[in-house]
Amino acid sequence: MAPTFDDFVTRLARIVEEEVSALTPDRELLSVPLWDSLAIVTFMAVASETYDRLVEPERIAAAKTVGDLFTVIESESAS
Amino acid sequence: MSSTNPRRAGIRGIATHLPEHVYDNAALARDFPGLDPEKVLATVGIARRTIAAPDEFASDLACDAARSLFATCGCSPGDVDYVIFCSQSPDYPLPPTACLIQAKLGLPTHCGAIDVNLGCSGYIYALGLAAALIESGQIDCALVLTADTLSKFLAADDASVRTIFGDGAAATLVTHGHDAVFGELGPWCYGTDGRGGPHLIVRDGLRGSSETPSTSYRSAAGSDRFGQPIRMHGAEVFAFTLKAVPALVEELLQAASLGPTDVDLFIFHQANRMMLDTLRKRLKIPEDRFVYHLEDQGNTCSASVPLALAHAIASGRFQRGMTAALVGYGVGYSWGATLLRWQVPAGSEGVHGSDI
Repeated sequence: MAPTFDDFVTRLARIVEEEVSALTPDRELLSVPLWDSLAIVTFMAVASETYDRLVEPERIAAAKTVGDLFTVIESESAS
Repeated sequence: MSSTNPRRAGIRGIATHLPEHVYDNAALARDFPGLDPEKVLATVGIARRTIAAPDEFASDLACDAARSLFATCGCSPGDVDYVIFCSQSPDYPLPPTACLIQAKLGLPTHCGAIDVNLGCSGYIYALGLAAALIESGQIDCALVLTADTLSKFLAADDASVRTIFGDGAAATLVTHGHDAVFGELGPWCYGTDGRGGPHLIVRDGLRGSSETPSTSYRSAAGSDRFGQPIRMHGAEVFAFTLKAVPALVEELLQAASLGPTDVDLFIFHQANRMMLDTLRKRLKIPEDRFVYHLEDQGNTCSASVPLALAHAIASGRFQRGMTAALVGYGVGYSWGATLLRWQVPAGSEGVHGSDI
């Protein structure tokens, strides 16, 4: 399926164990305590499974905010 | 691909050995208070990791596996004319561990012995070499040992690797003709991308220690080690795997002129549950044709594929008349795959409708 911000943020909230409402587009990823190496790998698995997209780790590392992370997913083409 | 080729290489027997000591999720949570044992089990699929004792090394695990192979598969050390030891954690930089194993097991001195320096893909490469030596007529019987004690390289305070890796060994007897009980091997698919080297690395050895000063660290094996611990960039390894492995499986099926439903059982390197799940779903392999075998020992590097295969045989999931895909991938980056066809005995082909 094509990613929408609402769907993406619901899945991200599950990974980092936060409320959806707390993950606004301008929320800094560094301020999300559970956004760690395991969360990143889980996020890559979700991107593959849900959106059929392979996301490059350096693009994830470059994302500063929740909104940036969504842009990374959105701009990858389905594989 | 005829099963009547008398030199067609196959597997006669497999035996495994795991160290006694176990590092379970409760111990993990004690060492890393931020980790939730339930979440670890759910995501990486591992409840406990088998860890070698401080004085127990890869050759010890390999020899124990080999002894149990000799005890169970109707062969003796004297039957072996080549031993291949595959590991990322050999006993010494030199001599080759395979040479030491020749003496420890009392293999004949006319036996060839080499080390293969590969990890998660190594079982496929070691089997491929054994099969080629046999099918070319150089030897009759190869003992393939895959053993790793990565715990020696794990920094005790690095949760990302301690969550995943365990120690273990497997011994596989590769032979030909009617001796090959578990069937034929091949075709073979291999691949390498050394650009991935830095993403799973121990910066030891001559170049490593000249670039990165050795330090003393407490290892997961419970002893202090002078050198560098393993460093893993999990996201990079995961990204590589998602690209390389589906292509590898497609290449294998094409090489064998098979469709995905012609393979009865897919036995992948047991990296971690999340990686296996993601690969399985990308490849659209149903769960009943896919092996998960890591909960009780962790990711055992070069030993993981034969441990999973031995378990599939023992539990009856892999049976006569079936075809299994063996798929390895990881450190290097290196990847490889082959098929194991457990043939139906001559004269009963019609019963099973065999295509082998």
